[in-house]
Formats: sequence, C-alpha cells, structure tokens
Amino acid sequence: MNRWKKILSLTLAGAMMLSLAACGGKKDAEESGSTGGEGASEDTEKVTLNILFNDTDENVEAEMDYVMEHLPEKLPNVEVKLEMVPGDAQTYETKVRTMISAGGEGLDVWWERGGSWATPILESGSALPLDEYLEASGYKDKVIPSAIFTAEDGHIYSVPFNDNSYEIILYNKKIFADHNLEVPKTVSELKEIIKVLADTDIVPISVGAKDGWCAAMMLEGFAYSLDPMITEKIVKGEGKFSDEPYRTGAEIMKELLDMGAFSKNVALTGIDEALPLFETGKAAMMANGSWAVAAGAEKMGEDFGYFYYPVVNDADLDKYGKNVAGGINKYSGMMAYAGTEHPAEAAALCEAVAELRCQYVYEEKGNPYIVYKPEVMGWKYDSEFAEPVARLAEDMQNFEYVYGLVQDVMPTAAASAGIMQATSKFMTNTPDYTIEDYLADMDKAALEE
Amino acid sequence: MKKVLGNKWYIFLLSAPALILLAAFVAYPLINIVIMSLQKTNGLTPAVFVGPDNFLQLIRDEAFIRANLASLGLSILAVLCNAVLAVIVSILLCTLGPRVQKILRTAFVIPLVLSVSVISQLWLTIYHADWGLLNYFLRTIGLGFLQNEWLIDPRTAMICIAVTGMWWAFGMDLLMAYSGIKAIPESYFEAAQLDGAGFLDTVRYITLPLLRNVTKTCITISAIAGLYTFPQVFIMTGGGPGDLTQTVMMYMYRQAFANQRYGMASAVGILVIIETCVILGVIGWLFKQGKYKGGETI
Repeated sequence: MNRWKKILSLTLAGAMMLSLAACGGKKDAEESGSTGGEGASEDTEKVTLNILFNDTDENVEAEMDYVMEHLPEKLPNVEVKLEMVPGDAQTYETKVRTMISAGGEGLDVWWERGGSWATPILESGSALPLDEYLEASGYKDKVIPSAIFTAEDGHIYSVPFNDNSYEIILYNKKIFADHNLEVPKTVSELKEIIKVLADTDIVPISVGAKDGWCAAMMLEGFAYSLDPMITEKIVKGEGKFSDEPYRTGAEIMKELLDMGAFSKNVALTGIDEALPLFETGKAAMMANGSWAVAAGAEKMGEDFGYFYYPVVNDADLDKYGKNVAGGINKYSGMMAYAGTEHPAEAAALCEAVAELRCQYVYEEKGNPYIVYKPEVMGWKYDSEFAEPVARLAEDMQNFEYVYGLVQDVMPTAAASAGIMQATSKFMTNTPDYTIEDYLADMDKAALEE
Repeated sequence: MKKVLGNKWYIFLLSAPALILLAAFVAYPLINIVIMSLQKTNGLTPAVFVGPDNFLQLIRDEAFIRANLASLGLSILAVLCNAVLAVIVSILLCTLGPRVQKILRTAFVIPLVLSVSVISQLWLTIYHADWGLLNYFLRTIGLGFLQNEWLIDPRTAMICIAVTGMWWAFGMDLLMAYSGIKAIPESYFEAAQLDGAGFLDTVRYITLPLLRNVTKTCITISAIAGLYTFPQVFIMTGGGPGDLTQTVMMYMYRQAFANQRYGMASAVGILVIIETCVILGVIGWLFKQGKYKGGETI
C-alpha cells in the first residue's frame, strides 16, 4: 500500500512536470519554427507576417478583402495572416498595446489609429523606423506632402492610408427642398432651419454624441469661424477652451440643444446609430467628417449634399468654407513592430497595404481624397466623380488654414478622453451641467498628463 | 494515509500544482498591482516610481468619489433588492402549490441564463429616449407626462442601470434561498404546526434561522456584485454621458484603457479590494451578532 502511495505521488509530480514542460516546449517549437522561417526567407521561401487591423465597419472589411486579394501580386514572397479586430479605437488600441507589452508575438504590422494613441508607442521605441525602406521605394514621390509624418527623432514610423478628411455637415437635399430651405452659411441661418425642422418628425441634426468627438467637432466648427488657430493655441498652451471662440461655440450648441436640434437620446447616440438616421432620411443633417462624402453620395445619390460650418458672425461671410479643421491624423497608418524578425518585408507590407487600400477606394469607390497621387501611381477612375465628391476635392485646394481635429491633436490620451467625456455630458443639456462647468472641464482635461 | 500526511515532503509535493497556480494567477497579479499602484506607467514606456501620488490624486478626484459612491449605492441596492427580496420571495414561493412554484421559479431564473450583453441590449431598447418601450408604454396607458430620457437624466440614469443588474441577478439569489428553504427538513415545519405556530412564527423561528448561512452568502455575493458593476454600464452607456453612470469599475477601466494610466487604475483596484474587505467584514460582523449558540441567542 505504502509503495502504491509513493508511486501515486511520483506520478502526480511527474504529470505536473510534464505539463509545465509541455507549455515550455510549445514556445521552443514556435521559436525553432520562426528561426526556420528566417532561414527559409534566405532561401527565398515565403515569409509569414501578421497584420492586425481594426474592423470598424463594412467599408473597411471590403477594403481589406481587396487588399488581401491583391497582396500576393505585390509581395509574392510574403504570406500574410490578417486579424480583423472589431470595436472602437480604444478597444483596438488596447489590444495593440497589450500585444506589444507581451513581446509583440503575432504582431508584425498593424493599423495605428494615430494621434495620442501613437505617442506611447513611439516613445517606447516599439515602432520600426521606416525611412530607409520608404526612401528606397520612392514613397515620398507617390504621396501628398501632408501624408509624411516625421517624428521628433527625425524618423518616419507610419504609412498613412486614411482619407484626407475635414469636418463638415452632411445634409439631405430632398428634405431641404421639401421645406424650402437653403444651405446655411451663417449660424443665424442655421437656427432658422432648425426652427422649421424642429416642428416636424425629422431630426434636424443627427450627431453621435455618445462618442463625444462628433459633438466636439461641431463645437470646433463654430469656434473656427472666430479664430481658426484656437485649437492649435490650446495644444501649445497658449489658449484655453474657456476663451471666446470655444465659449461662443458652446453657447451656440446650448441654443441648438434648447431648440430641439438633436434627437432626445443624442448624448447616448453612437455614430453607428447617427449615420443610419441620416442615410435613411430620418435626419436632415449630420455632423460628420468628409470621409463620409464618397460613401454618402453612393448611398443617397442626388439627395446627398454637404456644407461647411456656418460662420458665427454674419460679417465674416467671406470666411465661409475657408478655414476647416481636419487633415490626416498624425502618425496614423500602417506601422511595423520594431522587434519584427523581417523588418524589410514588414516595411514593404506597410506600404503595400496602404497603396492597395487607396487604389481600391479611388478606382472602385470613386473617392479622390486619398493620400497617394493617382497620376503618379497610374490609377484611373472610369466614371465621373459624384458632384459633391468632385466639389469637395476642388474645395480642398482652396482651404486657407487647416489644423487637426480637436480630439486627434490633444497631446495625451487622457486629454482627448477628458474632452470627449465632457462634451458627451454637455450634450445631455441638463441644468446641472452649465456652459461654465463644461468649459472648466475641457480646460482641466487639456492639462491632463 | 496518516504516514503520507505525516511527511512534509509529500504534503508539499501534492499541493505543489495548486500552489504554483495560486502563485501565478492570484499572488503574482496582486503583488504586481500593488507595485504598479505606486508607479506612473502607460504599459509601454518605462514606469516611474511615484510613491503614494496615485492614491492621493484619487482621493482628491471628485469623479472617483462620485463613482465610488455610485458603486456603494448599487451595492446597497443589490443587497436590498436582490438578496433580501429573494429571501422574502422564496419564502412566499414555498407557500404556493408545487406547479405554481415550478412556473414562477423558472420565470425568475430565465434572465440569469441570458448573457449580460443580451440583457443590456434588451434594456437599452426599453429605456431609449426616442423609441424606447418604456416611454411607449407610458404613452399608451395615458401616462405620457411620465416619459423621460431615462439613461440621460441624472436623477434616473443610475437607477436604470441598477434595475438592469438586479433583474439579471435576482434569479441566482432566489435559487439559492429557495434551495436553502427546501433543504430544511419538512418535520421541523410539521412540528411547529402541531405546536400551533402561525406562518410568521414559522418564518421567524424556523425558516430564517436555518437560512442564515444561505442569506449571508446571498448578501455577500450581491454586495460584491453591486460594487463591481461593470458590463451593463459598459454596454449600455459606457459610463456616460460624461461620467453620469460611471461606477468605480468603469472609472478604473477608463483610467487604464482610455487615459492609459495603468498605475492609477491599479491604485483604484487596491482601494476597491480594501473596500471589499471592509464590506465582507461588516457582513460577517452583522451575521455574528445574534448568532445561535446552544439554542440561545447571544
């Protein structure tokens, strides 16, 4: 009996050792496999790279389907494993950071959402400098100058592919025509329109204020007509949200809230709910970015239109559509992990994904707001661009002052998050949260480390 | 067996797998959280030791105090409306016929088998300010003046979140209390009836004393679940608008993942663990008072 007990004890201990050894063995096997891959690359065998991408909507899914289909033509020696991660930027960026913290296993290339999300990634040296690879491929000649982001250390870390986008208001031409409404160029004209639409079943302005940034864009749009440099001043510590431009913007937003310009549930309406509200004709206008123009024109056809933020003072009418917040989010685009075993292939993959995505939206979707120069790349769009799409592309050439969107340019993630939270709360329009409270919270958020 | 247990090496060897797992998945994370709570770190750049700064900043942060009070409120509500109510309902349930008992028991347990994501989406459609079922129902029965923006109004938002959580978890407390009552030997109730005890006396002198441990478990679980309310808040409101429905867990999540302040989030975690210990201590103390000892109440 005693002997059996000894055997049982040893068996249990042995099982434990084996299970631990098995865990370690898996890692060893993976390591030896990857070493083999490297050796294989020298023998011109395929290199396997992992891409992480944020699955934000069906448009992104279609774009990535196209990219994955055509990648083998561009990079025949690279086998790509794509992981689409659903969720908002915060959820996605958390996954990216966790993977990097865990040693970057399974991560070679990813879509970096940019702005304050990118700051710790760059500061920690987790991104691969792409300069020499991009230099060799002639990248700088292929893209517009604003798509080249040089970090403080002088290196380039990202290959942008997102649209060159600006804050605008989308509107439904049919609803406007049915109610004899004209495109507003001043805030007083906008208020007149709200007065008319507030008495109907139509939601005057659809906004995804749950996410904060949509409503913050509106505020910024109004503030821009008073001082287009105000956001830049705040970022540099030379201005405050409680200064006149944003204060006036907040007062206008408060007036619009009181007039019933938004749906009752606006403070808890996400952009995923706000966009269909507009596209299905239940809302007359929508505060959005110009990234929605090409898709909107395709979905809504002749009914689709857009206009710029109306100027606050009637006397400033000549400034209408001149100073617009937006551009390309800093450090956004494809990034490669600094610890990747195949840096050259990873850099090439970054470029290939960005190129293919832009080629797809230009040639297949009729979207000209891409960062690549179509004439240099030899891309052609067979049809004519839809009228709003073509007009916006032309307008972009005449913008006088452009600075990034307020939620993108804040120096820290805490500052961006604080501004969005305060804006979302402001949109509840409760008496407990006054304009003063809101602006004070924004000023406090701007100083967050 | 005695010989095996008498040998310290055998004891160590046999408990080693469990000890290793405990160290890896409980002790190490706890120690790590304590260390991180004393650091300023975003998880990527090197951490900087800041001593008790994170804790001091938290104590001064009104948003943290509000979130903490909201969670404590949810904890008290969960104890009253889940644990205590479940005990009352299960006592009443046991007085009904077997068939009715079965039907009602199933009805109460149905929410429990649904995922919290489904529950949250379901309640969102009920509370929605524009097309919610609750406002529609109020309009239909002529009480349109009671319509509200349920999850946006500061007076109702947190209560709505509480109702969602309570509706979901009530079934579990009820099941525990119901099973506890059913475990009491029938002969005790028969003896009480023969002695002429009424319903209230039977509940007071037989059911409740013998249900003490189950009730304590229900209250403990409900209190902790209330304090740790997170998934329904995350799905329904994301803690917003602003910080209107922010619980302490949501605050911790935002600090970690929106603000990239893992040190601060760890400090919140430490404070919540301390709070939990205090709550458990209070519950334990309350149940120790008036505990039966040798048939007498002390």
